[in-house]
Amino acid sequence: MKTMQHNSQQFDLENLVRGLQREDSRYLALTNSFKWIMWVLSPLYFLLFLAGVIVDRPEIDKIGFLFFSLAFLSFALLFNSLHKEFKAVDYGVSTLEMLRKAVGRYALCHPKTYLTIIPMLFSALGFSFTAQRGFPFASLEMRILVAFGSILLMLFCGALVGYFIWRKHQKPLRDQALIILKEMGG
Amino acid sequence: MDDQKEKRFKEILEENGGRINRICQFYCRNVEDKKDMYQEVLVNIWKSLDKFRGDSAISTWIYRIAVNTSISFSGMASRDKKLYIDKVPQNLNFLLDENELYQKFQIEEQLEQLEICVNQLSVIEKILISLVLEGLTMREIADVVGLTEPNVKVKIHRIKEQLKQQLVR
Repeated sequence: MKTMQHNSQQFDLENLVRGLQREDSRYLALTNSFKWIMWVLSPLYFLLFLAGVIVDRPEIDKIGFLFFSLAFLSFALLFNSLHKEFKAVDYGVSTLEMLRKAVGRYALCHPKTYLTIIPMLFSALGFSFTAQRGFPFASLEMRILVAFGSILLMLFCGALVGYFIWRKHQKPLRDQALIILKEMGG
Repeated sequence: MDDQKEKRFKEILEENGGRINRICQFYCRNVEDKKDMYQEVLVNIWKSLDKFRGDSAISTWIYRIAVNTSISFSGMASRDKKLYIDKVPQNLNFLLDENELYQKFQIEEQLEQLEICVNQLSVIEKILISLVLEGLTMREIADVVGLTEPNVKVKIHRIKEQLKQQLVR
């Protein structure tokens, strides 16, 4: 094959193509599964909320289920949008365009970053209402508050880890892209 | 669908394998690095293949992918990353005219010097020089990098002047 002749290294094209196809289907399967889990859990928790209304469960549980349902729904929508954005990455555009897009994609204060707060907050509220019984306080408000505080603390730690990952991996790429853009005058 | 994509992918590689290889050669001296970059360019061609609508020439599209990959390939965006130039006299032609090439014995030394000077350039200037050495026209280079043709002409002219001054010193 010509490609092999051009490239002096031993290059197994067949293997690469198989690998790429495998990766495509693996990625598709993974994203589909995640999407489906979210789309199943959201109505499931909504049904739990409705069932709670019918069997007259404590209000606090019903509110918790409703928040969980909203959290899964917003996760599904957000994931869908991130998936579309990821699929839109195209190396066949001009260098200038690719760099501009990379700068936007790797920004810390990306609008999508703020949007993740919504499902996080819903799941924190869902957890606070349903798991408050596990906290040893007499007052219901106190239990909810402590549960909410603990989950917020966990989310904050997660966000901090995310920030350090961004700082280590995405920020240098963004900085380099900005430097090249400046050199290009773009 | 997958078969069609595979067929198209292989056709593109058959026609453009040499181009990809040459671009990789500019950025990697080490055989293993070159192989890795070549593979990464192929992966990106595969990923972008569905989006290619034929708005530009296939060769321009290939150069775009190769150059864009070179920027993101293991720190290629760094100014310190070297550009390697084959030590063949033709690679001096873009800079010097025929009369200036009379001192044949100096060519090799000049090529060594050229490589040193080129590696002091910025990332985008190195990219432009690699495309000039590839023999692309100003129009094609502008299409690859996304700048206007006059802008590319000015930038390349400046780089040439800068390199010439450094070479004749």
